[in-house]
Amino acid sequence: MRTLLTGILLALALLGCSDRPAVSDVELLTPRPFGYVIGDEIQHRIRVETRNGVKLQAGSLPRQGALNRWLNLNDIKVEESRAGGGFRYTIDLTYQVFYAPNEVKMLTIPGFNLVLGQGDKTAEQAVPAWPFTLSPLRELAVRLDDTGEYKRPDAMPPALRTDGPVLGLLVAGLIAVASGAGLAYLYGYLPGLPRRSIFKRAGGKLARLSGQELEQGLTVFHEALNALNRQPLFKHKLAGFYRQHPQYRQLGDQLDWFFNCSNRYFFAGEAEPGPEALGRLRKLCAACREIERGSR
Amino acid sequence: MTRTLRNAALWGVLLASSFAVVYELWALYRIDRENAWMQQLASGHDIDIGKLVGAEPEVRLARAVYFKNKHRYDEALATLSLIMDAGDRALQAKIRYNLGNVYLEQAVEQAEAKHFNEALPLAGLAKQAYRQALALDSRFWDAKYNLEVAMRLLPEMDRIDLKDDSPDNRKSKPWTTVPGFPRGLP
Repeated sequence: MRTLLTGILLALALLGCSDRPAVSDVELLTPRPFGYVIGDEIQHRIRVETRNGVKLQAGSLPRQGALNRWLNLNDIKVEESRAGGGFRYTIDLTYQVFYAPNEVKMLTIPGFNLVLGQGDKTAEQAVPAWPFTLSPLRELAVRLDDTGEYKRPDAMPPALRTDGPVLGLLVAGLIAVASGAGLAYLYGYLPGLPRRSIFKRAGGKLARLSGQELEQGLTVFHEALNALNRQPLFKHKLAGFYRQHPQYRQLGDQLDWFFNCSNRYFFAGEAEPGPEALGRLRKLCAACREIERGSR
Repeated sequence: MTRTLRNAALWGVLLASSFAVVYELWALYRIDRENAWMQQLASGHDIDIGKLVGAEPEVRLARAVYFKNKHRYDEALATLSLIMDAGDRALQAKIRYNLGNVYLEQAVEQAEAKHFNEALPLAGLAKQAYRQALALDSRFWDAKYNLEVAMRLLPEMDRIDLKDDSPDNRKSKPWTTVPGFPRGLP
Protein backbone atom coordinates (compact mmCIF):
# COMPACT_ATOMS: atom_id res chain seq x y z
CA MET A 1 0.00 0.00 0.00
CA ARG A 2 1.09 3.36 -0.72
CA THR A 3 1.51 5.71 2.14
CA LEU A 4 1.04 9.35 1.98
CA LEU A 5 4.57 10.66 2.31
CA THR A 6 3.86 14.26 2.17
CA GLY A 7 0.50 15.68 3.00
CA ILE A 8 -0.89 18.52 1.19
CA LEU A 9 1.76 20.97 0.12
CA LEU A 10 0.19 24.33 -0.30
CA ALA A 11 1.53 26.06 -3.30
CA LEU A 12 3.27 29.28 -2.52
CA ALA A 13 4.16 30.15 -6.02
CA LEU A 14 2.34 33.07 -7.49
CA LEU A 15 1.55 33.69 -11.05
CA GLY A 16 3.43 36.73 -12.09
CA CYS A 17 1.86 39.77 -10.46
CA SER A 18 -1.27 37.89 -9.47
CA ASP A 19 -2.01 37.55 -5.78
CA ARG A 20 -3.70 34.20 -6.19
CA PRO A 21 -1.63 30.99 -6.00
CA ALA A 22 -1.45 28.94 -9.21
CA VAL A 23 -1.84 25.64 -7.34
CA SER A 24 -4.57 24.88 -4.86
CA ASP A 25 -3.46 21.39 -3.86
CA VAL A 26 -0.39 19.17 -4.35
CA GLU A 27 0.06 15.59 -3.16
CA LEU A 28 2.97 13.22 -3.63
CA LEU A 29 1.87 9.64 -3.06
CA THR A 30 4.77 7.26 -2.54
CA PRO A 31 5.23 3.61 -1.49
CA ARG A 32 7.31 2.37 1.47
CA PRO A 33 10.81 3.88 1.52
CA PHE A 34 12.71 0.66 2.32
CA GLY A 35 13.11 -2.96 1.27
CA TYR A 36 14.03 -2.48 -2.36
CA VAL A 37 16.54 -4.51 -4.34
CA ILE A 38 18.16 -4.08 -7.70
CA GLY A 39 15.70 -4.06 -10.60
CA ASP A 40 12.66 -3.11 -8.49
CA GLU A 41 10.11 -0.68 -9.81
CA ILE A 42 8.97 2.23 -7.65
CA GLN A 43 5.75 4.02 -8.42
CA HIS A 44 5.07 7.62 -7.54
CA ARG A 45 1.86 9.51 -8.04
CA ILE A 46 1.61 13.27 -8.02
CA ARG A 47 -1.75 15.01 -7.80
CA VAL A 48 -1.89 18.67 -8.64
CA GLU A 49 -4.92 20.95 -8.72
CA THR A 50 -4.55 24.31 -10.37
CA ARG A 51 -6.66 27.44 -10.26
CA ASN A 52 -8.11 29.73 -12.88
CA GLY A 53 -7.26 27.74 -15.97
CA VAL A 54 -3.60 27.37 -15.04
CA LYS A 55 -2.19 24.46 -17.05
CA LEU A 56 0.70 22.11 -16.48
CA GLN A 57 3.47 22.40 -19.04
CA ALA A 58 4.27 18.86 -20.12
CA GLY A 59 7.85 19.80 -20.96
CA SER A 60 8.63 20.26 -17.28
CA LEU A 61 8.02 16.59 -16.51
CA PRO A 62 11.05 14.30 -16.38
CA ARG A 63 11.75 12.49 -19.62
CA GLN A 64 11.22 8.77 -19.98
CA GLY A 65 14.48 6.83 -20.04
CA ALA A 66 17.67 6.89 -18.01
CA LEU A 67 17.63 9.67 -15.39
CA ASN A 68 21.10 8.81 -14.18
CA ARG A 69 23.45 5.85 -14.07
CA TRP A 70 21.29 3.75 -11.77
CA LEU A 71 17.77 5.11 -12.20
CA ASN A 72 15.39 4.72 -15.13
CA LEU A 73 12.04 6.34 -15.61
CA ASN A 74 10.20 3.51 -17.33
CA ASP A 75 6.79 5.07 -17.69
CA ILE A 76 5.06 8.39 -17.19
CA LYS A 77 1.32 8.92 -17.50
CA VAL A 78 -0.50 12.20 -17.11
CA GLU A 79 -4.26 12.44 -16.73
CA GLU A 80 -5.94 15.80 -16.96
CA SER A 81 -9.47 16.67 -15.88
CA ARG A 82 -11.41 19.83 -15.17
CA ALA A 83 -11.75 20.80 -11.51
CA GLY A 84 -13.53 24.02 -10.66
CA GLY A 85 -12.00 26.80 -12.68
CA GLY A 86 -8.68 25.00 -13.07
CA PHE A 87 -7.43 21.54 -13.80
CA ARG A 88 -6.68 18.38 -11.82
CA TYR A 89 -3.56 16.48 -12.91
CA THR A 90 -2.67 12.93 -11.89
CA ILE A 91 0.91 12.10 -12.84
CA ASP A 92 2.03 8.47 -12.48
CA LEU A 93 5.76 7.88 -12.60
CA THR A 94 7.31 4.39 -12.70
CA TYR A 95 10.98 4.36 -11.78
CA GLN A 96 13.29 1.36 -11.90
CA VAL A 97 16.46 1.08 -9.83
CA PHE A 98 19.64 -0.52 -11.17
CA TYR A 99 22.10 -0.13 -8.36
CA ALA A 100 24.04 -2.95 -6.71
CA PRO A 101 24.87 -1.92 -3.15
CA ASN A 102 27.32 -3.84 -0.98
CA GLU A 103 25.17 -3.13 2.06
CA VAL A 104 21.84 -1.46 2.75
CA LYS A 105 22.23 1.94 1.18
CA MET A 106 20.15 5.07 1.05
CA LEU A 107 19.51 6.49 -2.40
CA THR A 108 17.37 9.38 -3.52
CA ILE A 109 15.04 9.74 -6.44
CA PRO A 110 15.76 13.30 -7.56
CA GLY A 111 13.12 15.97 -7.27
CA PHE A 112 12.06 18.25 -10.08
CA ASN A 113 10.02 21.37 -10.68
CA LEU A 114 6.63 21.32 -12.33
CA VAL A 115 6.09 24.38 -14.49
CA LEU A 116 2.55 25.75 -14.52
CA GLY A 117 1.48 28.38 -16.92
CA GLN A 118 -1.37 30.65 -17.91
CA GLY A 119 -0.78 32.65 -21.05
CA ASP A 120 2.78 33.90 -20.88
CA LYS A 121 2.94 33.76 -17.08
CA THR A 122 4.56 30.77 -15.45
CA ALA A 123 5.16 29.51 -11.94
CA GLU A 124 7.02 26.52 -10.58
CA GLN A 125 5.93 23.92 -8.09
CA ALA A 126 8.70 21.78 -6.57
CA VAL A 127 8.27 18.02 -6.30
CA PRO A 128 10.61 16.94 -3.50
CA ALA A 129 13.36 14.34 -3.80
CA TRP A 130 12.45 10.98 -2.30
CA PRO A 131 14.99 9.00 -0.26
CA PHE A 132 14.71 5.23 0.11
CA THR A 133 16.94 2.34 1.06
CA LEU A 134 18.18 -0.39 -1.25
CA SER A 135 19.44 -3.80 -0.08
CA PRO A 136 21.90 -6.18 -1.74
CA LEU A 137 20.82 -9.58 -3.01
CA ARG A 138 24.20 -11.14 -2.98
CA GLU A 139 26.43 -11.78 -0.01
CA LEU A 140 29.83 -10.12 0.18
CA ALA A 141 31.68 -13.38 0.81
CA VAL A 142 32.80 -15.14 -2.34
CA ARG A 143 30.49 -17.95 -3.27
CA LEU A 144 31.67 -20.48 -5.81
CA ASP A 145 30.03 -23.34 -7.61
CA ASP A 146 31.21 -25.84 -10.20
CA THR A 147 31.52 -23.16 -12.86
CA GLY A 148 33.34 -20.67 -10.64
CA GLU A 149 31.54 -17.57 -9.46
CA TYR A 150 28.03 -18.50 -8.39
CA LYS A 151 25.41 -17.26 -10.83
CA ARG A 152 21.82 -18.07 -11.38
CA PRO A 153 21.33 -20.60 -14.17
CA ASP A 154 19.82 -19.98 -17.58
CA ALA A 155 16.09 -19.66 -17.92
CA MET A 156 14.73 -22.72 -19.65
CA PRO A 157 11.90 -22.06 -22.06
CA PRO A 158 8.50 -23.14 -20.80
CA ALA A 159 6.93 -26.19 -22.40
CA LEU A 160 4.64 -25.15 -25.20
CA ARG A 161 1.06 -25.10 -24.01
CA THR A 162 -1.63 -27.17 -25.66
CA ASP A 163 -4.60 -25.25 -24.23
CA GLY A 164 -5.29 -23.24 -27.39
CA PRO A 165 -5.25 -26.12 -29.88
CA VAL A 166 -7.20 -28.38 -27.50
CA LEU A 167 -9.90 -25.74 -27.09
CA GLY A 168 -9.89 -25.10 -30.84
CA LEU A 169 -10.15 -28.84 -31.48
CA LEU A 170 -13.11 -29.18 -29.14
CA VAL A 171 -14.95 -26.22 -30.64
CA ALA A 172 -14.23 -27.22 -34.24
CA GLY A 173 -15.11 -30.85 -33.46
CA LEU A 174 -18.42 -29.88 -31.90
CA ILE A 175 -19.28 -27.66 -34.86
CA ALA A 176 -18.31 -30.42 -37.29
CA VAL A 177 -20.43 -32.99 -35.42
CA ALA A 178 -23.39 -30.59 -35.18
CA SER A 179 -23.27 -29.66 -38.87
CA GLY A 180 -22.79 -33.31 -39.84
CA ALA A 181 -25.77 -34.31 -37.71
CA GLY A 182 -27.80 -31.52 -39.28
CA LEU A 183 -26.98 -32.75 -42.77
CA ALA A 184 -27.72 -36.34 -41.79
CA TYR A 185 -31.10 -35.21 -40.48
CA LEU A 186 -31.87 -33.28 -43.64
CA TYR A 187 -30.84 -36.22 -45.84
CA GLY A 188 -32.83 -38.66 -43.76
CA TYR A 189 -29.85 -40.67 -42.58
CA LEU A 190 -30.72 -40.42 -38.93
CA PRO A 191 -32.52 -43.49 -37.54
CA GLY A 192 -35.79 -42.89 -35.75
CA LEU A 193 -36.81 -40.00 -37.98
CA PRO A 194 -39.09 -41.68 -40.55
CA ARG A 195 -40.47 -38.49 -42.10
CA ARG A 196 -37.04 -37.74 -43.48
CA SER A 197 -36.79 -41.12 -45.17
CA ILE A 198 -40.33 -41.69 -46.45
CA PHE A 199 -39.40 -41.71 -50.13
CA LYS A 200 -36.13 -43.47 -49.41
CA ARG A 201 -38.02 -46.46 -48.04
CA ALA A 202 -40.67 -46.20 -50.75
CA GLY A 203 -37.95 -46.11 -53.39
CA GLY A 204 -36.45 -49.26 -51.92
CA LYS A 205 -39.77 -51.07 -52.08
CA LEU A 206 -40.41 -49.89 -55.66
CA ALA A 207 -37.00 -51.13 -56.71
CA ARG A 208 -37.85 -54.63 -55.54
CA LEU A 209 -41.10 -54.83 -57.48
CA SER A 210 -41.31 -56.54 -60.83
CA GLY A 211 -42.90 -54.90 -63.86
CA GLN A 212 -46.19 -56.72 -63.29
CA GLU A 213 -46.71 -55.47 -59.75
CA LEU A 214 -48.02 -52.01 -60.64
CA GLU A 215 -50.80 -52.24 -58.03
CA GLN A 216 -48.29 -52.68 -55.20
CA GLY A 217 -46.19 -49.88 -56.67
CA LEU A 218 -49.11 -47.45 -56.75
CA THR A 219 -50.04 -48.47 -53.20
CA VAL A 220 -46.50 -47.94 -51.94
CA PHE A 221 -46.34 -44.43 -53.42
CA HIS A 222 -49.82 -43.56 -52.09
CA GLU A 223 -48.70 -44.64 -48.63
CA ALA A 224 -45.58 -42.52 -48.92
CA LEU A 225 -47.58 -39.43 -49.91
CA ASN A 226 -50.13 -40.13 -47.13
CA ALA A 227 -47.31 -40.44 -44.59
CA LEU A 228 -45.80 -37.15 -45.73
CA ASN A 229 -49.22 -35.45 -45.73
CA ARG A 230 -50.10 -37.05 -42.35
CA GLN A 231 -53.49 -37.95 -43.86
CA PRO A 232 -54.72 -39.59 -47.06
CA LEU A 233 -53.90 -37.46 -50.08
CA PHE A 234 -56.23 -37.29 -53.07
CA LYS A 235 -55.86 -35.41 -56.28
CA HIS A 236 -58.34 -32.71 -55.33
CA LYS A 237 -56.38 -32.04 -52.15
CA LEU A 238 -53.12 -31.43 -53.99
CA ALA A 239 -53.45 -27.63 -53.70
CA GLY A 240 -53.49 -27.90 -49.90
CA PHE A 241 -50.58 -30.34 -50.03
CA TYR A 242 -48.54 -27.85 -52.09
CA ARG A 243 -49.25 -25.11 -49.58
CA GLN A 244 -47.82 -27.28 -46.81
CA HIS A 245 -44.97 -28.65 -48.91
CA PRO A 246 -44.24 -26.04 -51.58
CA GLN A 247 -41.05 -27.74 -52.69
CA TYR A 248 -43.15 -30.55 -54.25
CA ARG A 249 -44.96 -28.10 -56.51
CA GLN A 250 -42.15 -28.50 -59.05
CA LEU A 251 -43.29 -32.13 -59.50
CA GLY A 252 -46.91 -31.07 -60.12
CA ASP A 253 -47.17 -32.59 -63.63
CA GLN A 254 -45.71 -35.91 -62.51
CA LEU A 255 -47.94 -36.05 -59.41
CA ASP A 256 -50.95 -35.30 -61.62
CA TRP A 257 -49.89 -38.18 -63.84
CA PHE A 258 -49.57 -40.43 -60.80
CA PHE A 259 -53.04 -39.64 -59.50
CA ASN A 260 -54.57 -40.02 -62.99
CA CYS A 261 -52.79 -43.34 -63.44
CA SER A 262 -53.91 -44.49 -59.99
CA ASN A 263 -57.53 -43.47 -60.65
CA ARG A 264 -57.57 -45.24 -63.97
CA TYR A 265 -56.08 -48.38 -62.47
CA PHE A 266 -58.16 -48.65 -59.34
CA PHE A 267 -61.51 -47.16 -60.47
CA ALA A 268 -61.68 -47.48 -64.27
CA GLY A 269 -59.79 -50.72 -64.58
CA GLU A 270 -57.59 -49.23 -67.28
CA ALA A 271 -54.01 -50.03 -66.67
CA GLU A 272 -50.98 -48.55 -68.38
CA PRO A 273 -48.30 -51.04 -69.33
CA GLY A 274 -46.85 -52.18 -65.99
CA PRO A 275 -43.11 -51.84 -66.61
CA GLU A 276 -43.43 -48.42 -68.23
CA ALA A 277 -45.69 -47.01 -65.47
CA LEU A 278 -43.53 -48.52 -62.76
CA GLY A 279 -40.47 -46.93 -64.36
CA ARG A 280 -42.13 -43.48 -64.29
CA LEU A 281 -43.20 -44.12 -60.72
CA ARG A 282 -39.66 -44.95 -59.71
CA LYS A 283 -38.40 -41.71 -61.33
CA LEU A 284 -41.11 -39.75 -59.54
CA CYS A 285 -40.18 -41.39 -56.25
CA ALA A 286 -36.48 -40.59 -56.86
CA ALA A 287 -37.39 -36.95 -57.54
CA CYS A 288 -39.38 -36.87 -54.32
CA ARG A 289 -36.43 -38.41 -52.53
CA GLU A 290 -34.18 -35.61 -53.79
CA ILE A 291 -36.61 -33.03 -52.46
CA GLU A 292 -36.79 -34.96 -49.20
CA ARG A 293 -32.97 -34.75 -48.91
CA GLY A 294 -32.96 -31.09 -49.71
CA SER A 295 -30.79 -31.55 -52.78
CA ARG A 296 -33.49 -30.34 -55.19
CA MET B 1 -34.36 -22.84 -52.91
CA THR B 2 -34.17 -22.09 -49.19
CA ARG B 3 -33.50 -25.70 -48.39
CA THR B 4 -30.78 -25.86 -51.03
CA LEU B 5 -29.11 -22.76 -49.59
CA ARG B 6 -29.41 -24.16 -46.08
CA ASN B 7 -27.86 -27.44 -47.15
CA ALA B 8 -25.05 -25.64 -48.96
CA ALA B 9 -24.38 -23.53 -45.86
CA LEU B 10 -24.31 -26.63 -43.69
CA TRP B 11 -21.88 -28.30 -46.07
CA GLY B 12 -19.71 -25.20 -45.91
CA VAL B 13 -19.74 -25.20 -42.12
CA LEU B 14 -18.94 -28.92 -42.07
CA LEU B 15 -16.01 -28.48 -44.45
CA ALA B 16 -14.61 -25.47 -42.58
CA SER B 17 -14.92 -27.13 -39.19
CA SER B 18 -13.39 -30.35 -40.52
CA PHE B 19 -10.47 -28.31 -41.84
CA ALA B 20 -10.15 -26.64 -38.44
CA VAL B 21 -10.13 -30.05 -36.73
CA VAL B 22 -7.31 -31.22 -39.00
CA TYR B 23 -5.42 -27.96 -38.42
CA GLU B 24 -5.71 -28.19 -34.63
CA LEU B 25 -4.65 -31.84 -34.68
CA TRP B 26 -1.60 -30.79 -36.69
CA ALA B 27 -0.89 -27.98 -34.20
CA LEU B 28 -1.09 -30.44 -31.29
CA TYR B 29 1.27 -32.80 -33.08
CA ARG B 30 3.73 -29.94 -33.69
CA ILE B 31 3.60 -28.83 -30.05
CA ASP B 32 4.22 -32.36 -28.84
CA ARG B 33 7.14 -32.74 -31.27
CA GLU B 34 8.71 -29.39 -30.30
CA ASN B 35 8.35 -30.12 -26.59
CA ALA B 36 10.21 -33.38 -27.22
CA TRP B 37 12.97 -31.43 -29.01
CA MET B 38 13.29 -29.06 -26.07
CA GLN B 39 13.59 -32.01 -23.69
CA GLN B 40 16.24 -33.51 -25.95
CA LEU B 41 18.22 -30.24 -25.91
CA ALA B 42 17.85 -29.93 -22.14
CA SER B 43 19.27 -33.42 -21.74
CA GLY B 44 22.40 -32.34 -23.64
CA HIS B 45 21.68 -33.66 -27.12
CA ASP B 46 21.58 -31.42 -30.15
CA ILE B 47 18.83 -31.55 -32.74
CA ASP B 48 19.02 -31.23 -36.50
CA ILE B 49 19.14 -27.56 -37.51
CA GLY B 50 16.61 -28.29 -40.25
CA LYS B 51 14.02 -28.90 -37.56
CA LEU B 52 14.35 -25.33 -36.35
CA VAL B 53 12.89 -23.86 -39.53
CA GLY B 54 9.39 -22.79 -38.61
CA ALA B 55 9.77 -23.98 -35.03
CA GLU B 56 8.56 -21.87 -32.11
CA PRO B 57 11.14 -19.47 -30.58
CA GLU B 58 11.16 -21.56 -27.39
CA VAL B 59 13.00 -24.31 -29.30
CA ARG B 60 15.72 -21.89 -30.38
CA LEU B 61 15.97 -20.61 -26.82
CA ALA B 62 16.48 -24.18 -25.61
CA ARG B 63 19.15 -24.66 -28.29
CA ALA B 64 20.94 -21.49 -27.18
CA VAL B 65 21.04 -22.87 -23.64
CA TYR B 66 22.46 -26.10 -25.04
CA PHE B 67 25.19 -24.16 -26.90
CA LYS B 68 26.08 -22.15 -23.80
CA ASN B 69 26.34 -25.27 -21.70
CA LYS B 70 28.76 -26.63 -24.32
CA HIS B 71 30.72 -23.31 -24.19
CA ARG B 72 29.82 -22.65 -27.82
CA TYR B 73 29.16 -18.99 -27.07
CA ASP B 74 29.15 -17.62 -30.62
CA GLU B 75 26.51 -20.10 -31.70
CA ALA B 76 24.47 -19.32 -28.59
CA LEU B 77 24.62 -15.60 -29.36
CA ALA B 78 23.71 -16.17 -33.02
CA THR B 79 20.74 -18.32 -31.98
CA LEU B 80 19.50 -15.78 -29.44
CA SER B 81 19.86 -12.88 -31.85
CA LEU B 82 17.36 -14.59 -34.17
CA ILE B 83 14.60 -14.56 -31.56
CA MET B 84 15.20 -11.27 -29.76
CA ASP B 85 11.78 -9.89 -30.71
CA ALA B 86 9.87 -13.16 -30.75
CA GLY B 87 7.22 -14.28 -28.30
CA ASP B 88 5.53 -12.42 -25.48
CA ARG B 89 7.15 -10.16 -22.86
CA ALA B 90 7.92 -13.05 -20.51
CA LEU B 91 9.75 -14.96 -23.23
CA GLN B 92 11.59 -11.84 -24.39
CA ALA B 93 12.74 -11.25 -20.81
CA LYS B 94 14.07 -14.82 -20.68
CA ILE B 95 15.83 -14.39 -24.01
CA ARG B 96 17.57 -11.22 -22.77
CA TYR B 97 18.43 -12.85 -19.44
CA ASN B 98 20.02 -15.83 -21.20
CA LEU B 99 21.84 -13.42 -23.50
CA GLY B 100 23.20 -11.66 -20.41
CA ASN B 101 24.26 -15.04 -19.01
CA VAL B 102 26.24 -15.82 -22.19
CA TYR B 103 28.07 -12.48 -21.93
CA LEU B 104 28.56 -12.74 -18.16
CA GLU B 105 30.02 -16.22 -18.32
CA GLN B 106 32.52 -15.09 -20.92
CA ALA B 107 33.29 -11.94 -18.91
CA VAL B 108 33.96 -13.98 -15.77
CA GLU B 109 36.21 -16.35 -17.71
CA GLN B 110 38.15 -13.47 -19.22
CA ALA B 111 38.43 -11.65 -15.89
CA GLU B 112 39.72 -14.75 -14.14
CA ALA B 113 42.26 -15.17 -16.95
CA LYS B 114 43.33 -11.51 -16.36
CA HIS B 115 42.16 -10.52 -19.86
CA PHE B 116 40.60 -7.32 -18.61
CA ASN B 117 40.29 -5.60 -21.98
CA GLU B 118 38.09 -8.44 -23.18
CA ALA B 119 36.17 -8.76 -19.91
CA LEU B 120 35.10 -5.10 -19.72
CA PRO B 121 32.88 -4.88 -22.81
CA LEU B 122 31.44 -8.34 -22.15
CA ALA B 123 30.39 -7.36 -18.63
CA GLY B 124 28.90 -4.16 -20.02
CA LEU B 125 26.88 -6.14 -22.56
CA ALA B 126 25.74 -8.54 -19.84
CA LYS B 127 24.50 -5.66 -17.68
CA GLN B 128 22.70 -4.13 -20.62
CA ALA B 129 20.95 -7.42 -21.38
CA TYR B 130 19.93 -7.94 -17.73
CA ARG B 131 18.59 -4.41 -17.51
CA GLN B 132 16.52 -5.01 -20.63
CA ALA B 133 15.20 -8.24 -19.11
CA LEU B 134 14.27 -6.42 -15.91
CA ALA B 135 12.61 -3.61 -17.83
CA LEU B 136 10.38 -6.27 -19.37
CA ASP B 137 9.80 -8.11 -16.10
CA SER B 138 10.79 -6.31 -12.91
CA ARG B 139 10.08 -9.46 -10.84
CA PHE B 140 12.67 -11.57 -12.62
CA TRP B 141 14.73 -12.53 -9.55
CA ASP B 142 17.41 -14.48 -11.40
CA ALA B 143 18.04 -11.46 -13.63
CA LYS B 144 18.31 -9.25 -10.54
CA TYR B 145 20.82 -11.59 -8.96
CA ASN B 146 22.98 -11.98 -12.05
CA LEU B 147 22.86 -8.24 -12.74
CA GLU B 148 24.27 -7.76 -9.27
CA VAL B 149 26.96 -10.34 -10.07
CA ALA B 150 27.81 -8.46 -13.27
CA MET B 151 27.90 -5.13 -11.44
CA ARG B 152 30.16 -6.54 -8.73
CA LEU B 153 32.44 -7.75 -11.50
CA LEU B 154 32.97 -4.12 -12.44
CA PRO B 155 32.45 -2.46 -9.08
CA GLU B 156 34.12 0.85 -9.76
CA MET B 157 32.10 1.49 -12.87
CA ASP B 158 28.94 1.59 -10.84
CA ARG B 159 30.05 3.33 -7.68
CA ILE B 160 27.67 6.11 -6.87
CA ASP B 161 28.55 9.66 -6.08
CA LEU B 162 25.19 11.17 -5.38
CA LYS B 163 26.47 14.69 -5.84
CA ASP B 164 27.82 13.98 -9.27
CA ASP B 165 25.50 11.52 -10.89
CA SER B 166 23.91 13.49 -13.65
CA PRO B 167 24.06 12.00 -17.18
CA ASP B 168 26.45 14.73 -18.28
CA ASN B 169 29.08 13.74 -15.79
CA ARG B 170 29.07 10.01 -16.30
CA LYS B 171 31.96 9.82 -18.70
CA SER B 172 34.22 11.94 -16.56
CA LYS B 173 34.31 9.55 -13.63
CA PRO B 174 37.84 8.99 -12.48
CA TRP B 175 37.31 5.43 -11.23
CA THR B 176 39.57 2.73 -12.42
CA THR B 177 37.85 -0.14 -14.18
CA VAL B 178 39.73 -3.27 -13.24
CA PRO B 179 37.19 -6.04 -13.34
CA GLY B 180 37.08 -8.86 -10.84
CA PHE B 181 35.21 -10.01 -7.79
CA PRO B 182 36.35 -8.72 -4.41
CA ARG B 183 38.47 -11.33 -2.63
CA GLY B 184 39.58 -11.67 0.94
CA LEU B 185 36.40 -10.28 2.45
CA PRO B 186 35.04 -11.81 5.64
